[in-house]
Amino acid sequence: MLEIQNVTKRYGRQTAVDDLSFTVKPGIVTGFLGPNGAGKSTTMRMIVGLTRPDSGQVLIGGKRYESMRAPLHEVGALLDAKAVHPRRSAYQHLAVLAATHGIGRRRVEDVIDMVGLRSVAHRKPGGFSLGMSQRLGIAAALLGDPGVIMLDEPVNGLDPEGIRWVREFLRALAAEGRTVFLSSHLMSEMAQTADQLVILGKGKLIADVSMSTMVGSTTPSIRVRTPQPERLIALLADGSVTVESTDHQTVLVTGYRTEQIAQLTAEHQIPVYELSRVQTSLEDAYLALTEHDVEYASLQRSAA
Amino acid sequence: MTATALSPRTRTIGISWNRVLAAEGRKQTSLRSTWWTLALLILTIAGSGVITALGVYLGQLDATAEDIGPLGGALAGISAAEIIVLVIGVLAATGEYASGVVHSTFTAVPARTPVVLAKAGVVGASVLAASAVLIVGTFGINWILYSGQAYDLPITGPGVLRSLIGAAVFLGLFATIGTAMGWLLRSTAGAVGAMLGLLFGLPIIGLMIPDTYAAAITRFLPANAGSAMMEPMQAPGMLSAWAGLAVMLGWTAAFVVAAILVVRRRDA
Repeated sequence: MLEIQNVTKRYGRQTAVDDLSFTVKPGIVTGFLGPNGAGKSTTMRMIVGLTRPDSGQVLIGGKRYESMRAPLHEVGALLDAKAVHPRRSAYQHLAVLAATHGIGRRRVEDVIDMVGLRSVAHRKPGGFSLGMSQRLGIAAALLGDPGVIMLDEPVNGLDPEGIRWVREFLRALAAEGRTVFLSSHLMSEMAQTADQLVILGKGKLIADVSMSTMVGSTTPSIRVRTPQPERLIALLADGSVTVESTDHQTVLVTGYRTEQIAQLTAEHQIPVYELSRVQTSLEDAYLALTEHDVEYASLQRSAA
Repeated sequence: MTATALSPRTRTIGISWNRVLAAEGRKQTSLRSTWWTLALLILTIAGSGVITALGVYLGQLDATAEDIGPLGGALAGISAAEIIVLVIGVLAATGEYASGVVHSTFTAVPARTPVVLAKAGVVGASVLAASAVLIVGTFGINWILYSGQAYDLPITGPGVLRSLIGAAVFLGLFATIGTAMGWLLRSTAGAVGAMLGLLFGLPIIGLMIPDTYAAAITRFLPANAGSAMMEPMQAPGMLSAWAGLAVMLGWTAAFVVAAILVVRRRDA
């Protein structure tokens, strides 16, 4: 259990995190989303005491991180995969961290095997790819076998095999009852990994919702492919629906159910090649939710 | 936290002083650069220290007992060694910031103070130990070389052993100040510059102020307190060796305390 309570952090005039409160529960994977500059990394740094909040506090299992006698056994954090000494071998990097808690050589070897770094364990991380560095960072987070796992962009730079491994690994850790908290910009990946979502915009909480609520929050649209789109559009254009012709045959309809469309086209003898419900993606739902909170917006080519 | 299929639970005892010391020791031994700087230190202390004695031994140099002095030139390389050990100390701390590994370090030991003290202790003690062995060894070699030329170089002479060990202690303390300066300034270039300023810059400033004040002040500077620690006989206007040691301990403590206060306060 991870509790963020009324946390505020300012850098000069800029408020990075603004009176933020939320709870991350054990047993599920919680995704941490938000545009660049929303305050995700600052929040994660405050959880492990690297950055001090100006006000508010973070409690992990009811305790402050700084007051823990064995923090590596309680929280495993990956904040920046490249933050390792470039000339200290992966094994030695882990062994140094392990030494602070009296964690044995056995466990160091185990986590190296767990993340698949055996063959490069004695090489210097200066030459590691981002994906290899991510694995080393995950190994470090697992060293103390902690109950809370917190990862900032863990799949960034991983190959498809690595991404799938992280996803299954995190889901397994959550299934064991651990608290798993991760940020990512890859929406499709997050959609497959997270159960709960905490969404930040400009340092404030925008949403704390379950994945199913999030993707079910917007009305689904229906894709209809027909050689006579004009006739269908004419039937639907009563002002309460949005009709969008994306090519000469396909129409996207919102505000109707598939059954209604099927009935309508049958009655008017409009041939239909395809009739399908388009599930809102997490990406669509996320973008709709955060469009006013983007710190660094790109120029829109055309109004939506 | 639940039982886990990942591994048998390791001993959940957590952070202790000994463990943080062990971790800081491993940080040093696991970097190849540590061994290179040790080699450089050997070359500087032993190499510079024996070269005159070797010249005399080989009959290439003439030297009177006065030239040789009670230490037999064993401390000839100390000035250069001071620069090497200040860099060792600075890098031990700034290396954490340059790579960002300081985040891992302070995540593992969130109290931070044990890290600053352990690093100061590990760097200071290892520089002191290595320097002591090298300096006394250099003196031993010189003793052998000079005895072949019928010069006696007794280690039991007044202040001799104390000066040799004093030089090693000074190097250890100066390296320790280097770690503190590294924590304070975080940048290698800045901290090395500040350490050189402390060693060479402050005495120069001392030359610019009126003599009456300068004489009272300059002997308390690290460089001069260090010189006092290395002199078999107390020089006029200088501190005694023990007073020099006390002053150096004061400087070291002040810098380390400052580093702790700053490192604890600021965001990592």
